[in-house]
Amino acid sequence: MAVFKPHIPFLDDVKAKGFVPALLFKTNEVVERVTAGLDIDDIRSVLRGDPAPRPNPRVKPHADGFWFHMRPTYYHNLVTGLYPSFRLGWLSTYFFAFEVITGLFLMIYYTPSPLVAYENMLNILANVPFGRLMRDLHKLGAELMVIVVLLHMLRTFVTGNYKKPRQFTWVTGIVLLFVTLLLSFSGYLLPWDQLSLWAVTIGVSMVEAIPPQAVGDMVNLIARGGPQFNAGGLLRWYLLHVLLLPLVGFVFLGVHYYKVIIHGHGLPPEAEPVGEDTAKRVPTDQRTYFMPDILTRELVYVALLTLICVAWAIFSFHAPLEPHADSLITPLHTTAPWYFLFVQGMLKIGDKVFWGLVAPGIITGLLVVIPYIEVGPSRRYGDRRVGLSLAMVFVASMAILSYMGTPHYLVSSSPDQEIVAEIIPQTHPGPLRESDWTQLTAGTYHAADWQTAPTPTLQHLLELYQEEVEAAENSDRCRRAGNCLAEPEGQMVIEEWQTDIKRITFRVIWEGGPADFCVLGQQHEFCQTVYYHKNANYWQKP
Amino acid sequence: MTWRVIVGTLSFVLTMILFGYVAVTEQDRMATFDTAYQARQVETGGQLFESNCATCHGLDGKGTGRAPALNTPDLLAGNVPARLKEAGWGGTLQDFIQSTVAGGRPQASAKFVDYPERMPTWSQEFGGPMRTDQVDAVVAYVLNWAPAYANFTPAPLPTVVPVGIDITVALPVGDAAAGETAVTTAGCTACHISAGGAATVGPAWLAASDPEGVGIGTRAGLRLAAADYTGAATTPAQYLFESIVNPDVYIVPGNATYAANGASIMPHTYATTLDAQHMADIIAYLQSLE
Repeated sequence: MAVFKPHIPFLDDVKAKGFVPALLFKTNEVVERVTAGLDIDDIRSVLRGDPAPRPNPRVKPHADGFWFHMRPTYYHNLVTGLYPSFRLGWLSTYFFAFEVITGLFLMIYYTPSPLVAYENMLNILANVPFGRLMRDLHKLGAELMVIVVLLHMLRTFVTGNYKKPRQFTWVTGIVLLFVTLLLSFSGYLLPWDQLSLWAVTIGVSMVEAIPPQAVGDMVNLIARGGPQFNAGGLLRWYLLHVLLLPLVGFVFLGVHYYKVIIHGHGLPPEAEPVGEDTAKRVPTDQRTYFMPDILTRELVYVALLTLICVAWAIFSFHAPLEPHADSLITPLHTTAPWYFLFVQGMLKIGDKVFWGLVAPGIITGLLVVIPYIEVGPSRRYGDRRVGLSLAMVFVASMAILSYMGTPHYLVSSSPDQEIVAEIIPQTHPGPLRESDWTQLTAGTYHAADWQTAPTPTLQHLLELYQEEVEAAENSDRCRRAGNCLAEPEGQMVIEEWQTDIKRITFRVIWEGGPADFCVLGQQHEFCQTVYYHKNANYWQKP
Repeated sequence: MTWRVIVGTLSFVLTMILFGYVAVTEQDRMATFDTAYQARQVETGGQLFESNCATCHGLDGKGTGRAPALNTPDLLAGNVPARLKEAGWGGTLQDFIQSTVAGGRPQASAKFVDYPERMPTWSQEFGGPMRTDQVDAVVAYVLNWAPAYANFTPAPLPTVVPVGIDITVALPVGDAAAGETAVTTAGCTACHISAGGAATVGPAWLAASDPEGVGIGTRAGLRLAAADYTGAATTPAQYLFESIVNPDVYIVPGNATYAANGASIMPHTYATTLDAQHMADIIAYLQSLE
């Protein structure tokens, strides 16, 4: 008697039916298992566009499979198009996955240490095939994800879908919004360039204001990982970025999706009686089955969006990479990421504690409790004039506050530095570094005489320079700050310095200026020097 | 349904084609980035050199009285530049510069022992202020002077008969104009006449920058006659000769920066590097500065 007798059922089949029919049968079976309920014939019928047979095998994956159990089996005909959801929720999820995939690629080449993080970036850009593309896609995806998530929230408010019974779905959505914002923000720090360090320093300095001081100091220390941002802080933010936030996001995404299954997709407000929620009672003749209609729509959106993102990242969108982080040099005009500019704008209004902590706290708190305090039964636009108007006012004030957060509003740094910073900014390449190297003829030039400059590039640069000089003498901005310069004058000296490198000095003088040329510590003079190499190729971006 | 399948498939195929396009062009792209990055590294190096190194090595790298020249064929020309040979350096030029910048030179090489200060440590690895990438940038900047010396052929060495420290030897007739050139070549002006006219390190030569308003030519006589004069000179010309070849004999009192540890901060090399004609020219030039 054999101790172990191998038995391969497939061979029995071959014996009974012959090889080819048995193979086809087996293949069919495997396909049915993989798709959790659809065999080859079912799939072909789906692809042919046949009407669903009865009983409908296409609902089986929803009951038996993991991936489809998170999606409703059918939608109401009224919610299958772009309106009312604009598919923004699906796109948010798509970007979440998109970021995980591109992020994993980048993670392979990244070490969270200030000693090598920046070098890792250079390595990704210079030595890793597809490295720049992945970095650009990750950055682009992050920006788009923030936009899509914000629009998703706005849409939900406008169509009144936060109302009963979907209050808690809204709350999980707020959590996901914060996860998205923090994910994007924590990602800022990782390249360890000037942008990283200072954008995050600005953000984190907010928590320093938490009263009482002992608590503020403690939270600040935890967020920075030490008195200064360094190895400890970078590691913390890295772990937040790749571990904690994605985990929280993943869990709440599950809850958010589950709630959609429970409550169904809200119908357009005008499509159901006031005060009723009929999303779960879809009449048989109004149903659009997920398989194949909704599924193919979603796949088309995703395929198109991927194409757009990839093309955009290859041909035009490039994630910036500034010089290596340096805690001793604060670049002029550092700003928070655009979605936090409104906080920076509020900080310009007044008190750090109130505008930096209390006000954003109140906004967050209001967002969370909206569905519980705004309990009017109607979701119709006509019945919610106050709510919708308030929402528009809110969006408009956010836009205004964000503008106030930019350096264009009420930054009173000295105008002489502003002039030069327009031409050789510290946060991006700027006009000089993006101009044609060969056209920068050596010589001494005066901005006021820009028309006589020998090359078009120089004329353009000097004209720009002169505009800034004039603005420093007389403009709303300098009058408001009360620091207009008297009789300012812009000079520019270009020297052939080394092989393929030019040394360019900008000198702004006012009230006549001092006699000596750019000697440290003189009054009425501001000098800044920059070196520009023939091959620096700034217009090509990182 | 049909259009969805078509658009979806087409998008997917196009995306794959784009990936293929990247795969094909990626090598060139990476090479371009590398070139651009190296160029930007030199720019960064220039900024760092200007704010950290130029004080002693000169903005143009030609050296000052405080530190030797870097922008010189000595360091940058040939397969094994002269200074590497002198130091017995086995590595590359880049290694040589990099290790000097990173670790500093607590002990000067024999040739530069008379400079008043030692090269400090710059790399954070050894307790200095610069990150590794900043040290690399400075090195790239210094090396970027090298292409200018690519076709450099060293001039045949002039046979210099050193003038020595005996100030009583008879000197040939001096030429003040030749002397003016010689003081620049020998590096005297770095300390005694700065760009604006005022002396920065040593006593000022020009009458305009002297507190008492007299040039070095006249002053030599006054010093010689001073009560505390400790040297052996008997004429103003001898006084100047002595100050150049043997600066420790008499250090003008009243300015603490002229001396360090009892010795003059003036280089002690001129007795061996100048010949009699140069010395005569220089003295003639100095005496013309009344």
